[in-house]
Amino acid sequence: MTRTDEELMRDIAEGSRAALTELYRRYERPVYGFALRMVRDSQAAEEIVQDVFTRIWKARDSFNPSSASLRTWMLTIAKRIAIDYIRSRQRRGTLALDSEEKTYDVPDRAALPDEMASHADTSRQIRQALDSLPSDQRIPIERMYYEGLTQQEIAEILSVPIGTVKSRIRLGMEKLRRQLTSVEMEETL
Amino acid sequence: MDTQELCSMREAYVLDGLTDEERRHFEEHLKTCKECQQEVTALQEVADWMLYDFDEVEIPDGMESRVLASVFGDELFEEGSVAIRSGGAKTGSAMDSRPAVDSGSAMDSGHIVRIPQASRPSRRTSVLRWLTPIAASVLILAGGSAYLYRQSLGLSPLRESVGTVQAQLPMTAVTKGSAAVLTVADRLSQQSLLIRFSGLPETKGSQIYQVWAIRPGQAPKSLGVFYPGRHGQALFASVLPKGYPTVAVTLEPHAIDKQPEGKKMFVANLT
Ligand SMILES: [Zn+2]
Repeated sequence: MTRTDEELMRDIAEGSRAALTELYRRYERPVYGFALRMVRDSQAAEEIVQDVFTRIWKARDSFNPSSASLRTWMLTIAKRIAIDYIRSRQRRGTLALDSEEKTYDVPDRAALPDEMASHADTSRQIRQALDSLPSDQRIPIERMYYEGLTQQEIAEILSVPIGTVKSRIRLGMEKLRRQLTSVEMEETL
Repeated sequence: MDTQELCSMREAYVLDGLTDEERRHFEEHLKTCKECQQEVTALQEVADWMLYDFDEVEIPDGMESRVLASVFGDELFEEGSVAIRSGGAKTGSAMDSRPAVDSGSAMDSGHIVRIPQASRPSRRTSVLRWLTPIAASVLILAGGSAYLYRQSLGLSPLRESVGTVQAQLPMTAVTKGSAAVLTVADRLSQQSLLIRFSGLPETKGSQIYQVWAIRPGQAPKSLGVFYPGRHGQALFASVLPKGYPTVAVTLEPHAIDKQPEGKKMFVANLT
Protein backbone atom coordinates (compact mmCIF):
# COMPACT_ATOMS: atom_id res chain seq x y z
CA MET A 1 0.00 0.00 0.00
CA THR A 2 1.39 3.34 -0.96
CA ARG A 3 1.59 5.88 1.78
CA THR A 4 0.55 9.42 1.04
CA ASP A 5 3.08 12.20 1.36
CA GLU A 6 1.41 13.27 4.60
CA GLU A 7 1.70 9.79 6.09
CA LEU A 8 5.28 9.63 5.00
CA MET A 9 6.09 12.94 6.63
CA ARG A 10 4.38 11.89 9.83
CA ASP A 11 6.46 8.72 9.96
CA ILE A 12 9.62 10.71 9.27
CA ALA A 13 8.72 13.05 12.10
CA GLU A 14 8.63 9.98 14.31
CA GLY A 15 12.11 9.05 13.20
CA SER A 16 11.44 6.35 10.64
CA ARG A 17 14.42 5.88 8.40
CA ALA A 18 12.42 3.67 6.10
CA ALA A 19 10.02 6.57 5.56
CA LEU A 20 12.84 8.97 4.76
CA THR A 21 14.26 6.43 2.35
CA GLU A 22 10.87 6.22 0.67
CA LEU A 23 10.63 9.99 0.53
CA TYR A 24 14.06 10.06 -1.02
CA ARG A 25 13.07 7.56 -3.68
CA ARG A 26 9.91 9.49 -4.42
CA TYR A 27 11.62 12.86 -4.83
CA GLU A 28 15.22 12.14 -5.75
CA ARG A 29 14.56 12.74 -9.42
CA PRO A 30 12.84 16.14 -9.26
CA VAL A 31 15.16 17.45 -6.55
CA TYR A 32 18.22 16.36 -8.49
CA GLY A 33 16.83 17.64 -11.78
CA PHE A 34 16.04 20.99 -10.23
CA ALA A 35 19.42 21.25 -8.48
CA LEU A 36 21.21 20.45 -11.72
CA ARG A 37 19.19 23.10 -13.52
CA MET A 38 20.29 25.61 -10.89
CA VAL A 39 23.99 24.81 -10.55
CA ARG A 40 24.71 23.06 -13.84
CA ASP A 41 27.19 20.74 -12.26
CA SER A 42 26.32 17.14 -11.45
CA GLN A 43 28.54 16.83 -8.41
CA ALA A 44 27.26 20.06 -6.87
CA ALA A 45 23.71 18.96 -7.68
CA GLU A 46 24.25 15.73 -5.78
CA GLU A 47 25.58 17.68 -2.81
CA ILE A 48 22.45 19.78 -2.87
CA VAL A 49 20.27 16.67 -2.89
CA GLN A 50 22.24 15.40 0.08
CA ASP A 51 21.82 18.70 1.88
CA VAL A 52 18.07 18.79 1.23
CA PHE A 53 17.47 15.37 2.74
CA THR A 54 19.88 15.99 5.59
CA ARG A 55 17.99 19.14 6.52
CA ILE A 56 14.67 17.40 6.34
CA TRP A 57 15.95 14.59 8.53
CA LYS A 58 17.52 16.90 11.06
CA ALA A 59 14.47 19.14 11.28
CA ARG A 60 11.98 16.28 11.32
CA ASP A 61 10.81 17.20 14.82
CA SER A 62 9.79 20.66 13.78
CA PHE A 63 8.43 20.62 10.27
CA ASN A 64 4.85 21.04 9.39
CA PRO A 65 3.81 18.38 6.91
CA SER A 66 0.52 20.11 6.16
CA SER A 67 2.24 22.89 4.29
CA ALA A 68 1.25 23.11 0.65
CA SER A 69 2.62 20.54 -1.74
CA LEU A 70 5.52 18.49 -0.50
CA ARG A 71 7.15 18.60 -3.90
CA THR A 72 7.06 22.40 -3.97
CA TRP A 73 8.32 22.56 -0.42
CA MET A 74 11.28 20.31 -1.23
CA LEU A 75 12.12 22.22 -4.39
CA THR A 76 12.00 25.43 -2.37
CA ILE A 77 14.53 24.03 0.08
CA ALA A 78 16.68 22.87 -2.83
CA LYS A 79 16.47 26.32 -4.34
CA ARG A 80 17.64 28.04 -1.17
CA ILE A 81 20.60 25.70 -0.90
CA ALA A 82 21.42 26.05 -4.58
CA ILE A 83 21.34 29.84 -4.37
CA ASP A 84 23.77 29.76 -1.44
CA TYR A 85 26.00 27.57 -3.53
CA ILE A 86 25.73 29.79 -6.62
CA ARG A 87 26.45 32.90 -4.62
CA SER A 88 29.51 31.40 -3.00
CA ARG A 89 30.71 30.35 -6.42
CA GLN A 90 30.14 33.88 -7.68
CA ARG A 91 32.13 35.26 -4.80
CA ARG A 92 34.95 33.02 -5.81
CA GLY A 93 34.67 34.53 -9.26
CA THR A 94 34.07 31.37 -11.20
CA LEU A 95 30.82 32.56 -12.64
CA ALA A 96 30.93 35.60 -14.82
CA LEU A 97 28.41 38.09 -13.54
CA ASP A 98 28.21 40.03 -16.74
CA SER A 99 27.21 37.25 -19.07
CA GLU A 100 23.77 37.94 -20.38
CA GLU A 101 22.72 34.50 -21.34
CA LYS A 102 24.19 31.25 -20.27
CA THR A 103 23.92 27.94 -21.92
CA TYR A 104 24.31 24.75 -20.02
CA ASP A 105 24.50 21.12 -20.78
CA VAL A 106 22.26 18.70 -19.09
CA PRO A 107 22.57 14.97 -19.50
CA ASP A 108 20.27 13.22 -21.90
CA ARG A 109 16.79 12.83 -20.64
CA ALA A 110 16.26 9.55 -18.97
CA ALA A 111 13.53 7.25 -20.12
CA LEU A 112 10.73 8.50 -17.98
CA PRO A 113 7.99 6.51 -16.38
CA ASP A 114 4.48 7.63 -17.25
CA GLU A 115 4.01 9.55 -14.05
CA MET A 116 6.87 11.79 -15.04
CA ALA A 117 5.11 12.86 -18.20
CA SER A 118 3.07 15.37 -16.25
CA HIS A 119 6.27 16.96 -15.05
CA ALA A 120 7.39 17.30 -18.64
CA ASP A 121 4.12 19.11 -19.36
CA THR A 122 4.52 21.46 -16.44
CA SER A 123 8.11 22.27 -17.22
CA ARG A 124 7.27 22.90 -20.87
CA GLN A 125 4.46 25.25 -19.89
CA ILE A 126 6.61 27.30 -17.57
CA ARG A 127 9.47 27.37 -20.06
CA GLN A 128 7.14 28.52 -22.83
CA ALA A 129 5.69 31.16 -20.55
CA LEU A 130 9.14 32.46 -19.65
CA ASP A 131 10.30 32.36 -23.25
CA SER A 132 7.28 34.36 -24.32
CA LEU A 133 8.41 37.33 -22.24
CA PRO A 134 10.47 40.09 -23.81
CA SER A 135 14.07 39.44 -22.81
CA ASP A 136 14.32 42.71 -20.86
CA GLN A 137 11.65 41.31 -18.55
CA ARG A 138 12.64 37.67 -18.63
CA ILE A 139 16.34 38.14 -17.87
CA PRO A 140 15.95 40.09 -14.62
CA ILE A 141 13.27 37.66 -13.42
CA GLU A 142 15.41 34.64 -14.19
CA ARG A 143 18.57 36.08 -12.72
CA MET A 144 16.81 37.06 -9.55
CA TYR A 145 14.96 33.81 -9.10
CA TYR A 146 17.41 31.23 -10.41
CA GLU A 147 20.69 32.94 -9.56
CA GLY A 148 19.79 34.76 -6.38
CA LEU A 149 20.73 38.23 -7.55
CA THR A 150 19.20 41.23 -5.80
CA GLN A 151 17.41 44.11 -7.52
CA GLN A 152 20.47 46.27 -6.96
CA GLU A 153 22.86 43.72 -8.44
CA ILE A 154 20.71 43.29 -11.51
CA ALA A 155 20.50 47.05 -11.95
CA GLU A 156 24.28 47.23 -11.88
CA ILE A 157 24.79 44.35 -14.27
CA LEU A 158 22.27 45.69 -16.77
CA SER A 159 23.34 49.30 -16.20
CA VAL A 160 19.80 50.51 -15.67
CA PRO A 161 18.22 52.30 -12.71
CA ILE A 162 16.79 50.07 -9.99
CA GLY A 163 13.32 51.47 -10.70
CA THR A 164 13.59 50.15 -14.25
CA VAL A 165 14.51 46.71 -12.98
CA LYS A 166 11.51 46.74 -10.68
CA SER A 167 9.06 47.78 -13.35
CA ARG A 168 10.36 45.24 -15.88
CA ILE A 169 10.07 42.50 -13.30
CA ARG A 170 6.58 43.65 -12.34
CA LEU A 171 5.41 43.61 -15.97
CA GLY A 172 6.96 40.20 -16.58
CA MET A 173 5.44 38.71 -13.45
CA GLU A 174 2.00 40.03 -14.42
CA LYS A 175 2.27 38.27 -17.77
CA LEU A 176 3.39 35.03 -16.14
CA ARG A 177 0.52 35.27 -13.75
CA ARG A 178 -2.00 35.59 -16.56
CA GLN A 179 -0.47 32.60 -18.34
CA LEU A 180 -0.51 30.53 -15.19
CA THR A 181 -4.15 31.39 -14.65
CA SER A 182 -5.01 30.30 -18.18
CA VAL A 183 -3.10 27.03 -17.74
CA GLU A 184 -5.01 26.36 -14.56
CA MET A 185 -8.30 27.07 -16.28
CA GLU A 186 -7.47 24.66 -19.09
CA GLU A 187 -6.65 22.01 -16.57
CA THR A 188 -9.91 22.37 -14.72
CA LEU A 189 -11.98 22.19 -17.89
CA MET B 1 11.18 53.85 3.33
CA ASP B 2 7.73 55.05 2.32
CA THR B 3 4.75 52.84 1.71
CA GLN B 4 4.93 53.10 -2.04
CA GLU B 5 8.52 51.96 -2.03
CA LEU B 6 7.70 49.08 0.27
CA CYS B 7 4.79 47.98 -1.91
CA SER B 8 7.13 48.01 -4.91
CA MET B 9 9.18 45.21 -3.36
CA ARG B 10 6.49 42.55 -3.73
CA GLU B 11 7.88 40.90 -6.84
CA ALA B 12 11.43 40.87 -5.57
CA TYR B 13 10.15 39.46 -2.30
CA VAL B 14 8.57 36.39 -3.88
CA LEU B 15 11.54 35.96 -6.23
CA ASP B 16 13.97 36.04 -3.28
CA GLY B 17 15.63 39.14 -4.68
CA LEU B 18 15.66 41.32 -1.58
CA THR B 19 18.62 41.83 0.70
CA ASP B 20 18.11 40.59 4.24
CA GLU B 21 17.47 44.10 5.43
CA GLU B 22 14.97 44.86 2.68
CA ARG B 23 13.21 41.60 3.38
CA ARG B 24 12.83 42.43 7.06
CA HIS B 25 11.35 45.82 6.20
CA PHE B 26 9.01 44.30 3.67
CA GLU B 27 7.83 41.54 6.00
CA GLU B 28 7.05 44.16 8.62
CA HIS B 29 5.06 46.08 6.01
CA LEU B 30 3.33 42.90 4.85
CA LYS B 31 1.75 42.44 8.24
CA THR B 32 -0.42 45.49 7.73
CA CYS B 33 -0.73 46.04 3.95
CA LYS B 34 -3.81 44.19 2.70
CA GLU B 35 -2.98 44.82 -0.95
CA CYS B 36 0.51 43.38 -0.59
CA GLN B 37 -0.88 40.35 1.22
CA GLN B 38 -3.20 39.59 -1.68
CA GLU B 39 -0.61 40.27 -4.33
CA VAL B 40 2.12 38.26 -2.62
CA THR B 41 -0.18 35.27 -2.37
CA ALA B 42 -0.89 35.42 -6.09
CA LEU B 43 2.72 36.10 -7.04
CA GLN B 44 3.92 33.26 -4.86
CA GLU B 45 1.95 30.88 -7.03
CA VAL B 46 3.86 32.11 -10.05
CA ALA B 47 7.16 31.75 -8.22
CA ASP B 48 6.27 28.21 -7.13
CA TRP B 49 5.34 27.37 -10.68
CA MET B 50 8.78 28.57 -11.78
CA LEU B 51 10.34 25.88 -9.59
CA TYR B 52 9.27 23.41 -12.24
CA ASP B 53 11.45 24.80 -14.97
CA PHE B 54 13.79 21.85 -15.15
CA ASP B 55 14.19 18.58 -16.99
CA GLU B 56 14.14 15.29 -15.22
CA VAL B 57 17.48 13.68 -15.95
CA GLU B 58 19.30 10.45 -15.30
CA ILE B 59 20.61 10.45 -11.77
CA PRO B 60 24.23 9.51 -11.03
CA ASP B 61 25.06 5.90 -10.23
CA GLY B 62 25.07 5.14 -6.55
CA MET B 63 23.65 8.50 -5.52
CA GLU B 64 21.01 6.99 -3.28
CA SER B 65 23.46 5.06 -1.13
CA ARG B 66 25.82 8.02 -0.89
CA VAL B 67 23.08 10.45 0.08
CA LEU B 68 21.37 8.17 2.59
CA ALA B 69 24.67 7.14 4.16
CA SER B 70 25.41 10.78 4.69
CA VAL B 71 21.95 11.63 6.03
CA PHE B 72 21.85 8.76 8.51
CA GLY B 73 25.57 8.70 9.13
CA ASP B 74 25.32 11.83 11.21
CA GLU B 75 23.53 10.25 14.05
CA LEU B 76 25.25 6.95 13.90
CA PHE B 77 28.25 8.85 14.97
CA GLU B 78 29.70 7.50 18.15
CA GLU B 79 30.27 10.01 20.84
CA GLY B 80 33.79 9.94 22.09
CA SER B 81 35.30 8.62 18.92
CA VAL B 82 36.13 12.03 17.57
CA ALA B 83 39.41 11.62 15.87
CA ILE B 84 39.95 15.02 14.56
CA ARG B 85 39.13 18.19 16.31
CA SER B 86 39.34 21.56 14.76
CA GLY B 87 42.90 22.70 14.77
CA GLY B 88 41.89 26.31 14.37
CA ALA B 89 43.57 28.70 12.05
CA LYS B 90 47.19 27.88 11.97
CA THR B 91 49.93 29.53 10.11
CA GLY B 92 51.93 27.60 7.63
CA SER B 93 51.04 25.32 4.82
CA ALA B 94 47.96 26.58 3.11
CA MET B 95 45.82 24.82 0.62
CA ASP B 96 47.51 26.25 -2.41
CA SER B 97 51.03 25.60 -1.25
CA ARG B 98 50.52 21.99 -0.51
CA PRO B 99 53.96 20.46 -0.15
CA ALA B 100 52.78 16.99 -0.83
CA VAL B 101 54.71 14.17 0.72
CA ASP B 102 53.71 11.90 -2.07
CA SER B 103 52.03 12.74 -5.31
CA GLY B 104 48.79 11.17 -4.22
CA SER B 105 48.50 12.89 -0.90
CA ALA B 106 45.46 14.88 -1.82
CA MET B 107 42.35 13.27 -3.09
CA ASP B 108 38.63 13.45 -3.02
CA SER B 109 37.09 11.33 -0.42
CA GLY B 110 34.03 9.27 -0.44
CA HIS B 111 31.47 9.87 2.20
CA ILE B 112 32.63 8.97 5.61
CA VAL B 113 30.20 7.40 7.96
CA ARG B 114 30.67 6.07 11.43
CA ILE B 115 28.69 3.61 13.40
CA PRO B 116 28.30 3.40 17.12
CA GLN B 117 29.33 0.52 19.24
CA ALA B 118 26.58 -2.00 19.12
CA SER B 119 25.62 -1.44 22.73
CA ARG B 120 25.21 2.27 22.38
CA PRO B 121 21.64 3.45 22.10
CA SER B 122 21.22 5.72 19.15
CA ARG B 123 20.71 9.27 20.16
CA ARG B 124 17.81 11.01 18.59
CA THR B 125 19.47 14.36 18.29
CA SER B 126 23.15 13.92 18.14
CA VAL B 127 25.41 16.88 18.18
CA LEU B 128 27.89 16.68 15.41
CA ARG B 129 31.44 17.50 16.06
CA TRP B 130 32.89 17.53 12.65
CA LEU B 131 31.20 14.87 10.66
CA THR B 132 28.51 16.91 9.08
CA PRO B 133 27.84 15.64 5.60
CA ILE B 134 31.14 15.74 3.94
CA ALA B 135 31.08 16.77 0.36
CA ALA B 136 34.72 16.19 -0.28
CA SER B 137 37.70 15.98 1.94
CA VAL B 138 41.34 16.29 1.21
CA LEU B 139 44.08 14.90 3.34
CA ILE B 140 47.25 16.93 3.27
CA LEU B 141 50.48 15.63 4.63
CA ALA B 142 52.95 18.41 5.09
CA GLY B 143 56.11 18.78 7.06
CA GLY B 144 55.39 15.71 9.13
CA SER B 145 51.89 16.87 10.04
CA ALA B 146 48.55 15.75 8.74
CA TYR B 147 45.67 18.06 8.00
CA LEU B 148 42.22 17.28 6.87
CA TYR B 149 40.47 19.80 4.68
CA ARG B 150 36.76 19.47 4.66
CA GLN B 151 35.04 20.94 1.69
CA SER B 152 31.44 21.45 2.46
CA LEU B 153 28.82 22.97 0.30
CA GLY B 154 29.32 26.64 -0.29
CA LEU B 155 31.95 27.04 2.35
CA SER B 156 35.65 27.50 2.08
CA PRO B 157 37.52 24.40 3.17
CA LEU B 158 37.86 23.86 6.87
CA ARG B 159 41.30 22.83 7.90
CA GLU B 160 41.65 20.50 10.79
CA SER B 161 44.88 19.37 12.28
CA VAL B 162 45.10 15.67 12.78
CA GLY B 163 48.50 15.81 14.41
CA THR B 164 51.98 14.58 13.73
CA VAL B 165 52.38 11.76 11.29
CA GLN B 166 53.80 8.78 13.11
CA ALA B 167 53.59 6.13 10.50
CA GLN B 168 52.50 5.69 6.96
CA LEU B 169 52.25 2.33 5.29
CA PRO B 170 50.45 0.69 2.42
CA MET B 171 47.82 -1.84 3.39
CA THR B 172 47.93 -5.25 1.81
CA ALA B 173 45.16 -5.42 -0.75
CA VAL B 174 43.23 -8.59 -1.41
CA THR B 175 41.63 -7.31 -4.61
CA LYS B 176 43.76 -6.39 -7.57
CA GLY B 177 43.61 -2.80 -8.70
CA SER B 178 42.65 -1.36 -5.34
CA ALA B 179 45.05 0.30 -2.96
CA ALA B 180 45.00 1.78 0.51
CA VAL B 181 47.56 3.82 2.39
CA LEU B 182 47.23 4.01 6.12
CA THR B 183 48.46 6.96 8.14
CA VAL B 184 48.70 7.11 11.89
CA ALA B 185 48.84 10.58 13.37
CA ASP B 186 49.21 11.61 16.94
CA ARG B 187 47.77 14.66 18.59
CA LEU B 188 47.26 15.37 22.27
CA SER B 189 48.12 11.77 23.13
CA GLN B 190 45.31 10.56 20.89
CA GLN B 191 46.09 8.51 17.84
CA SER B 192 44.16 9.02 14.65
CA LEU B 193 43.86 6.61 11.82
CA LEU B 194 43.49 7.90 8.29
CA ILE B 195 43.19 5.61 5.32
CA ARG B 196 43.13 6.73 1.74
CA PHE B 197 41.64 4.30 -0.69
CA SER B 198 41.67 4.13 -4.43
CA GLY B 199 40.28 1.68 -6.94
CA LEU B 200 37.69 0.32 -4.54
CA PRO B 201 35.06 -1.88 -6.12
CA GLU B 202 31.64 -0.22 -6.06
CA THR B 203 29.24 -1.30 -3.39
CA LYS B 204 26.09 -3.09 -4.49
CA GLY B 205 22.74 -3.15 -2.73
CA SER B 206 23.21 -2.88 1.02
CA GLN B 207 26.96 -3.46 0.87
CA ILE B 208 29.24 -1.14 2.75
CA TYR B 209 32.91 -0.98 3.60
CA GLN B 210 33.79 -1.34 7.27
CA VAL B 211 37.06 -0.72 9.09
CA TRP B 212 38.10 -2.86 12.06
CA ALA B 213 40.75 -2.75 14.75
CA ILE B 214 41.91 -6.23 15.61
CA ARG B 215 43.59 -7.57 18.74
CA PRO B 216 44.39 -11.27 19.09
CA GLY B 217 41.98 -13.12 21.31
CA GLN B 218 39.32 -10.42 21.22
CA ALA B 219 36.37 -9.53 19.05
CA PRO B 220 37.28 -7.04 16.35
CA LYS B 221 36.33 -3.49 17.15
CA SER B 222 34.46 -1.57 14.47
CA LEU B 223 35.96 1.81 13.66
CA GLY B 224 33.31 2.83 11.20
CA VAL B 225 31.84 2.31 7.78
CA PHE B 226 32.06 4.19 4.53
CA TYR B 227 31.08 4.21 0.91
CA PRO B 228 33.60 4.96 -1.80
CA GLY B 229 33.14 8.13 -3.78
CA ARG B 230 33.56 8.57 -7.48
CA HIS B 231 36.26 6.47 -9.10
CA GLY B 232 36.41 4.19 -6.07
CA GLN B 233 38.15 6.70 -3.88
CA ALA B 234 37.60 7.24 -0.19
CA LEU B 235 39.18 8.84 2.78
CA PHE B 236 38.43 7.27 6.14
CA ALA B 237 39.25 8.90 9.46
CA SER B 238 38.77 7.61 12.97
CA VAL B 239 40.34 7.42 16.38
CA LEU B 240 42.77 4.54 16.62
CA PRO B 241 42.13 2.77 19.89
CA LYS B 242 45.21 1.82 21.88
CA GLY B 243 46.53 -1.70 21.87
CA TYR B 244 45.19 -2.92 18.56
CA PRO B 245 48.07 -4.08 16.37
CA THR B 246 46.08 -4.80 13.21
CA VAL B 247 43.69 -2.83 11.06
CA ALA B 248 41.51 -4.54 8.48
CA VAL B 249 38.91 -3.41 5.99
CA THR B 250 36.02 -5.60 4.91
CA LEU B 251 33.24 -5.29 2.40
CA GLU B 252 30.19 -6.06 4.50
CA PRO B 253 26.87 -7.30 3.18
CA HIS B 254 24.87 -5.04 5.53
CA ALA B 255 25.25 -1.54 6.79
CA ILE B 256 25.82 -2.24 10.45
CA ASP B 257 27.51 -5.46 11.39
CA LYS B 258 28.79 -6.11 14.87
CA GLN B 259 31.15 -8.76 13.61
CA PRO B 260 32.95 -8.83 10.30
CA GLU B 261 30.98 -11.09 8.00
CA GLY B 262 32.05 -9.83 4.62
CA LYS B 263 35.08 -10.30 2.47
CA LYS B 264 38.36 -8.98 3.81
CA MET B 265 39.71 -6.34 1.45
CA PHE B 266 42.76 -4.87 3.14
CA VAL B 267 44.91 -5.57 6.14
CA ALA B 268 47.83 -3.83 7.79
CA ASN B 269 49.94 -4.56 10.83
CA LEU B 270 50.88 -1.50 12.77
CA THR B 271 53.72 -3.00 14.73
ZN1 LIG C 1 2.07 47.20 0.42
